[in-house]
Amino acid sequence: MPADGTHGRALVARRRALGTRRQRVVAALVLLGALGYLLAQGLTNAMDYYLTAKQAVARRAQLGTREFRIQGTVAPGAHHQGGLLYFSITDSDVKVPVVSTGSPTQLFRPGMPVVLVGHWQGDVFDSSQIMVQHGSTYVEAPARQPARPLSAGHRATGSPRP
Amino acid sequence: MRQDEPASLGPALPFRPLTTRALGWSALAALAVTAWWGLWVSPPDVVQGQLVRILYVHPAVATMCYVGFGLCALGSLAWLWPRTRSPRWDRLAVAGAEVGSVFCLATLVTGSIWGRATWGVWWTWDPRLTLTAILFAMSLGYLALRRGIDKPQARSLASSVVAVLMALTVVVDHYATSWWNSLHQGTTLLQPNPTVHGWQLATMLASFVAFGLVFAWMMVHRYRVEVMEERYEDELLQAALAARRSEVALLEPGGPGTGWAGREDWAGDGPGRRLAPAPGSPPGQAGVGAGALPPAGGRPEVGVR
Repeated sequence: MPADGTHGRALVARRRALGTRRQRVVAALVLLGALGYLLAQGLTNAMDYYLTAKQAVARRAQLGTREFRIQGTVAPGAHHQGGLLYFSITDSDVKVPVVSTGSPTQLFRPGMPVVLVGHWQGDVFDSSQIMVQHGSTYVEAPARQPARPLSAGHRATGSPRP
Repeated sequence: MRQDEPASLGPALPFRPLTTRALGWSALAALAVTAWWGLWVSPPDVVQGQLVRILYVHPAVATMCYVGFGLCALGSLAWLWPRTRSPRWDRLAVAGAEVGSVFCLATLVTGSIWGRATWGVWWTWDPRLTLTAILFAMSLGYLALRRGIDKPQARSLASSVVAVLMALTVVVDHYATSWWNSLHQGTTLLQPNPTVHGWQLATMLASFVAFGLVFAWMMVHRYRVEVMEERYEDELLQAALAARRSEVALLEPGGPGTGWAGREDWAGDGPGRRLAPAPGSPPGQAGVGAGALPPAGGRPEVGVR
């Protein structure tokens, strides 16, 4: 091992590379700020992520036109018209008509639970975003057939919405 | 220290190269089997179609993230407990946190891809997603904290507290889908009757083995790197001290070797010990002049990380 101070200088250089104390404090503050934002933004939203359709109907007057998330199961009869998607969601004995500007994924079909972002527009839920839920149950398909997408103009099975 | 290792001042390197190579090749083979089963053998899902194939990556990666932070907490608690306190536990903690944070990032990325394909969004403030993001931020904070504190004892103590908080967050994150309304699906395997069968179950289990081996391989190497860093720092310190000692010896009027005033100048023997002022030096000036260096072989414990 050379004793000419080379390693000593390397030690000093390494310490410098790790940053000054001020830089570390700034980095820590940035991380704390990010964590604080996540906690504030996330926890307030996350703990009350959605209302079920039944809860949303019961609190319709209180919610007004405020934006929130509603959850329910897609009822048969979804159809596209004039660039909008019309369908209904059900929850227990409650049925909520929905009009949406959002485009759902290929999993969207009758019987699938969805979470919608939007607001009440009278008795109709005006949605801007459709998120399709899927459960934790997996079943192998008997043959290689991809899930059928709901294409524009395609009317899903069941009775159409009036 | 093992026979095949060069003489060094620091702790011996754990695990033989053959062991780590065997672990690495096993992980690679298991990943290949998982990819084969996941992409070609396992059939598509009734609901998700081909999208189900990310099931053979995301849950296993997320589990390894939890395991990493769990090991971090285990090492931290063992370090905090006076009877079991050892640098080995601290190394396990930092390795677990670092590897866990890599898997946590992979969890967020793979989950985001799966979410876009099935839910229709890259991100939403769902309880599970939010808590995982918080966990990732905490792990970055943990690693930054370790880099920010020089003194080993203080570093280990502060990071251990964060590690315990991370472990608590892991528990809440795991139960988030049961405790609150969530877009994220619930558990699949951890229930009395798993809701996955046949090739899907086999491939999912293979993915757990594969990513478990990858995790173990990364942990072993990260632990070894930690040991190497300690040895490197010890050697740097010894080299710096030797260089300074030789300078002092040259400056001494009595010739080389007469500058050292004796072990009495070496203050303290525990954490935070430092060089004592040289005889005759001004008050408050410690360890900077002739006669202020420890004898050869002394190991001052100062943080250099």
